[in-house]
Amino acid sequence: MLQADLKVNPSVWSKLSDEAKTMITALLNKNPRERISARDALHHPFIVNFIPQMRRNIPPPGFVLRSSSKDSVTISSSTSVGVGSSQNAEVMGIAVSAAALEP
Amino acid sequence: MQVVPIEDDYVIGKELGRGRFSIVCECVHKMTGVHCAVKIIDKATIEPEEKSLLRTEIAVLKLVNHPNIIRMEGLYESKGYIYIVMEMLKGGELFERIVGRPRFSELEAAQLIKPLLESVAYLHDLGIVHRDLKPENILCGEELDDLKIADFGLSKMILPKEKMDAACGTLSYVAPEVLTMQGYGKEADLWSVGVIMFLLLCGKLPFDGDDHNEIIRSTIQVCMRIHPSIHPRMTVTDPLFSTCLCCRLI
Repeated sequence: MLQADLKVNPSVWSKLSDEAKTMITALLNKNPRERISARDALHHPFIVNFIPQMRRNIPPPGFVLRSSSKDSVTISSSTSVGVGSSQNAEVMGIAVSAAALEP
Repeated sequence: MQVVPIEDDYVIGKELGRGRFSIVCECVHKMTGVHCAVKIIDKATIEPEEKSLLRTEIAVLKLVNHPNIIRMEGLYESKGYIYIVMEMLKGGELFERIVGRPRFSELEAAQLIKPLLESVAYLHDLGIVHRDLKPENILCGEELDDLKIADFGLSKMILPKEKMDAACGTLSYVAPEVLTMQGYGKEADLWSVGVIMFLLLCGKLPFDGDDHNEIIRSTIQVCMRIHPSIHPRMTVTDPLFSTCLCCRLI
């Protein structure tokens, strides 16, 4: 049987988190019967651990809800060092995923 | 279908793009001033097969109601044309966001993939398979996670155990069981999500080639190598991780 490896730069692949690697592998499972479903994928650690807290319903302490437009709500921190909301999200995302990996 | 002519409600503006059998134009609602996109289909030019694709697209758009799926604002018909008015997003296609920038961070990818999975899960619950998920069919708002899937021209409603057999969709995003005509179901959409996720994080398509045959061979024969250093605690606590460890594409 012919085998063609994914022509991906090993340094790129190895730098991905275990969550990302297992999620990609679960989605790109050649056997459709074993492939992860959309509902299960939503509970995969890649989604659960990496989505920043700002997108969850209950804001963490120290963060205030500020309505920016009719549909979206952004959270800004009263103590954060970040300047923009996207930077806050980045900081928070890292904090959240790091906390989730703590024993 | 509205009985009033579209001109009563909307001012049709500049062309935004062309689809398989349609032109997409900007339009503005006369009363509210809201900008939308209108897909204008020339009834004289569509073949019977395209008519059925169009019927499916309209049926799906009428049925769905999800924040991550493009909303149909109105449907009009004149003697020669059908007009499908859809909400418009400011950010353009996800494709345009990917091109011209390096890889996305994992946080960014998760923010994009989550709403994508939510809309796919919603469609699958309704028995709808999109069949053509790709960055060109994903529209972006201002925020990363404000995305909506569009273009239901190839989507199909299936019964829970029914399998489809027509190979369709854009090759690089198409699941191997679709390419080998084995019949396929909802699972094919998850494969496409996997290709999109790979593209976001690795900056390239996992299954690519210079021609169609090469893409097909790559997709069917590829063997995904999994990095062995999976976090040991996770394999114990999460059954998903242990199954992932064992799975190979071939």
